[in-house]
This record gives sequence, structure tokens and C-alpha cells, in this order.
Amino acid sequence: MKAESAQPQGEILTYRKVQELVMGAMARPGRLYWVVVGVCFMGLLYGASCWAYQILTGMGVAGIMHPVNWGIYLVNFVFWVGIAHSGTLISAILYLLRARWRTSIARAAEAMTVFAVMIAGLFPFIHLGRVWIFYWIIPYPNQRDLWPNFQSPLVFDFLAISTYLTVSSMFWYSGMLPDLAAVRDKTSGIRKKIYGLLSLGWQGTHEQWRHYSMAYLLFAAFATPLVISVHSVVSWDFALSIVPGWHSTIFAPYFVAGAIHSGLAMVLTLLIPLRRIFHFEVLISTETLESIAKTIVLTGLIVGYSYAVEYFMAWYSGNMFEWDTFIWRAVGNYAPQFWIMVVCNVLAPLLFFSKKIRRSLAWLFGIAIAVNIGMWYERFVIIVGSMAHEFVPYAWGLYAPSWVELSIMGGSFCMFFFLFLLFGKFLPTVSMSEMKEALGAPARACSPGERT
Amino acid sequence: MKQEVLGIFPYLDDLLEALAMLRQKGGRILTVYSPIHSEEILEALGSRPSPVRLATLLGGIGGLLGGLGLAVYTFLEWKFVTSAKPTPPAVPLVVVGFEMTILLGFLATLVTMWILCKMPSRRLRDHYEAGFSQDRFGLLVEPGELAEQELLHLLKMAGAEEVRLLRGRATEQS
Repeated sequence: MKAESAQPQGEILTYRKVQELVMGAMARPGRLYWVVVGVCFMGLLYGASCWAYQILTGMGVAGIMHPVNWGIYLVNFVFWVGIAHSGTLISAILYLLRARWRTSIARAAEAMTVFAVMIAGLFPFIHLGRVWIFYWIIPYPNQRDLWPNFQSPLVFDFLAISTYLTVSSMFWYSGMLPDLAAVRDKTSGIRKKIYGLLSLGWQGTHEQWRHYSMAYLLFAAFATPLVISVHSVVSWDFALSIVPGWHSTIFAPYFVAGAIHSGLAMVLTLLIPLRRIFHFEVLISTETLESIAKTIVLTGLIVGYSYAVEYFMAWYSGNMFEWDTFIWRAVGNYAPQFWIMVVCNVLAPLLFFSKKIRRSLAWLFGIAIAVNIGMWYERFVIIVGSMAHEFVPYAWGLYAPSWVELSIMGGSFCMFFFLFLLFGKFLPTVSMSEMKEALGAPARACSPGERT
Repeated sequence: MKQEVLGIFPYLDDLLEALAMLRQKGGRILTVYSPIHSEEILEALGSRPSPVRLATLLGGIGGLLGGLGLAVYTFLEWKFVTSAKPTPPAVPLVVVGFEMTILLGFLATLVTMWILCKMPSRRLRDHYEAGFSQDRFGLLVEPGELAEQELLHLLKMAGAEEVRLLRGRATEQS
């Protein structure tokens, strides 16, 4: 990968060019693509079989036990919910703010959101143990008049995540309708039939655009507060307890900022290879990637500030348990994870203050990976580090994930990349209609040598 | 069967010019096809804001009341008492009410949008052109107060690259 991006100079985008580029990416895939898809699928199957093994054998195969009863299943849950955040941020919030740089990357970011929420939603079930009775958490009339406790943050979580999955997936699908129609109109045979069904008969009439554009605006308006609420609710899973290190009023904004931070990093992690493989340099410009990097600087600073404030609050509160937990985080058994977190999440993004680094694909990719790793460790430090070192020294204990937990985690990453690879080849990865709109409608007045 | 004419335009400004002339001269505009959302087209047609908004409002209110109602009913039915907290407690209800407002408001908007857009539909209109989703604008009109030849002439003069007579006779291209 070249250190400096190479955006073709002087290449003029037209409607036709946009169409060719995006649909070119949907051409018949090569052997390498299927090999990578196959590897991811095998990883997914392996992770699924490990989950099956856990169900058949019992939760003892996982490393979780007193005092750390929430291990990396919950770490992964929070990590994937965080990853899911930026898709909606880029798609909905930046849409409302009319930020033009979102146009070329919104679709891929939305896809990332949908897949990440799907995977995040699996982890509470994996952690549940007896997954076949998961429906007990759903509010429904039953013979014993048992209802979920609506005061519980776990029920908040169920409502928030299921709402987020529904909204983000339908927001993604609705945004694709005009593009699916464009693909339908350019293909033949079975592909035409499939895209015809998926496009729901979209024809681009003025009445359809009238209702669609209004609905899309309202979808964005709904998704924006939802995205803030979802990670706030996730943070309350922790903050509403009394565990030192969790019981904090800053958790909601702290988690939201962290989620956006990790999500933006994952967007870069996915977009940089996508851009190169599909030759999207014209569509996804270096300026767009630079804008993401600038936003990562902002979120990194907020995250760093949150880390500092957590320490200040622990010290200033005079609560010895709280303060001891935070001291232990920095120098105790999980200190390496803590310092990886600080370096990757706070210090590494500061490199983006340099314009040269912001415009280098290699640096962008490397720092994005670092932030992803750092954000995973942040959740590990918060969840595991706090439970391992609660109030009573007799109850302190350490946790290390078992091979089953690590395998299921690996399977979740394989599932994510498997779904994203399928998306990249079979659906329009860049919103053609929005790109065309951003280019401006073709006008004879701008066309040289035409009728006067 | 009424005569209809389809004009295909490569340029938006030509289409807007045709729309203005048609409205002025009494042609009846049936449908405009576009590969992109264009406020200019909607303005030229005098379109009003979509009624989808009403469904959004009703769905949101329904979700709020439904969410709060379910949670309150649950508390009263189950009599789940937590010390020092009222039954039902106010604060947790906010989360339930909020999420259900978003969920039902969103779904009401989605379903209403589909209904108003006449989707899903398996058949495309006979005169639909693949170019309408790519880089061409379409204008379907009835002559209205205009003579047929006058309408054809008007569309060509406005910049239509192709004009077709539809229904009642074999499609003619010019």
C-alpha cells in the first residue's frame, strides 16, 4: 500500500461513470474473493460449533466464574455495539447536518452497522447459557403472569438493541431502493428478477421521490437520538450497579464517544481496502478519509478526557474502593491491557494532527487498527478489571478467557467480515443516487456545444 | 383510451423548462421520472410536502403511549416493589417510552411510505425506461388543452431527445 494516496487527477465524474464504478464492483467475483469468503465462512462455522459445544456441555467451558461473571462475551457485546455506532452517525447525523463527505461512505458504514448489531445481539444469548429460553426477556402475556422488570437495565438493553437493529437495517435497506432499481435495470436473467424483487418496484416517479425523501429525512431524525440512546443504555448495564469502576454518572457520554471512536476506526479499516480493491479512489476521496481521521482526533480527545475525569472523580469522591480500583487498573494485573487502551485510543489518534499522516493510507489503516484494538481492551478493562477487584479483598480474583470464548469471539469477527464481503459483491456499496445528487443534475446550460 | 405522451430528457433544465411550458399551456402532467431526488422537479410540479409526516407523528405518539402503558401495566400487574421507589417508578419508564416512540414512529413512517409509493409492486409500468434509474429524466403527459402535435412539438423544442406516443395506437418514436 502506498504511503501517499493516489487519487486520479482530472477525472470527471458523471452519472454514467458513478454507475459504472459501483456496478463494476458487483461484477462476477474472482477466485481469490471466494477463497477469502470461504475462510471467513469456515471461521464462522467453527465459532458456531464452539457455541454448540458450550450449549451441550454447559457454561463451565467458558472461563467466567466468581468474581468475574461477565467475561469477554460481554466485552464483545459492548465492542460490537460500539462498532455499530458510526454507521448511523455517518449516515443519519451527517445527513441531517448536510455533510457532503458522508455520501460516498454512508452505505458501507450502514452495512457495517447492521452486521455489527446482529453480531452484538448474539453475545447476550451466548452468555445466557440456556439460550432456548431467551424469550423470557420479551414482554408477552404468559400463563404465570410473569413480566420482565422494566426497571432493569438489561430489559432496557433488549428494547434498545432490538429497536436499533430494526431501525438501522430498514434505514439501510430503504436507502438502497433507488440503487437496487438501477441495478435491476442494468442486469438480466435471474439477477434482474432478484434485484427486481429487492427494489420493490421502485421507478423513480416524482410521487415516489416526494414520499421517499420525506421518509428518509424522518428516518435520519429518528436514528440520530436512537444512536445516542443505545450506547447510553448499554453503559447503564454497568453504571446502574454499585461495582467500583462502573458506578459512574459519566458512563453514558463516555460510552457514546468511545463507540463513535471505535466505529469510525472500523469504517477506515473497511473502507481503505474496499476503496483499493474496487478502484473507488474517485468516489471515496482522500479528503473523505481525512475527514474521518479528523473526527477520530475529536473522539479520541473526548475519550482521553473521559479517562482522566474518571480518575479525578475516583480521587475526589474520597471513596477508597473506587480509588483503589483505578490505581489497580494502572498498576495491577491488567495494567498491560490498560496501557494498550491508553496508547491506542488516546495517543495514537493524536498523530492525525499531522496532515501528512492523515493523508497517508498506510498510517490511516494502521492507526485505525490500533484504535480497534484499544477500544476492545477498553471494554475488557472496564468489565473484567472492575469485577476482578471489587470491595472485599477475599473476593478478588483474576479472569482469563477460555479457548471456547476466544473461538466464539474469532467466529464473530469471521461472521462480520463474511457478511461484509457478501455485501461488497452483491449490493451497491456506494449510494449511486446520492452520489449523482451530490454531483448535481445534468444541465444543458453546463454542456458545451449544446443548443442555445 | 386517452392519449399519453412520454418525453425522455437527458438534462434537468430542459425538463424543468418543459414542465413550466406545459403548466402554462394546459398540458396535463401525469408523472415525472428521475434518477435522483430533485427539489426543483417537485417545486415545478407544485407538490406539497408528503403526508408521511402525519404517520410519523401518530406512530410516535402510539409508541410512546404503548410503551409507557405496557410498562405501567406490568408494574401494576406484577406489583414489583423496589424499596424507596414508587410503583410504577417514573425514571425507568422514560427509557421504555423513548425506545417504543422511536420504533413505532419509524415503522409507521416506513409502512406509510411504502403504501404511498405503491410498493411493493412486481410490475413496472409499460412505458418505463431503464434509463430513468440511470441518467435520464422522463415526462409522461396527457395533451389536456393542447393539440397532440402541439404537445409533441413542445417537448421536442424543450429538449426531449425522444418523444413517444403511448396508448391507443402503436408507439411512435421521433
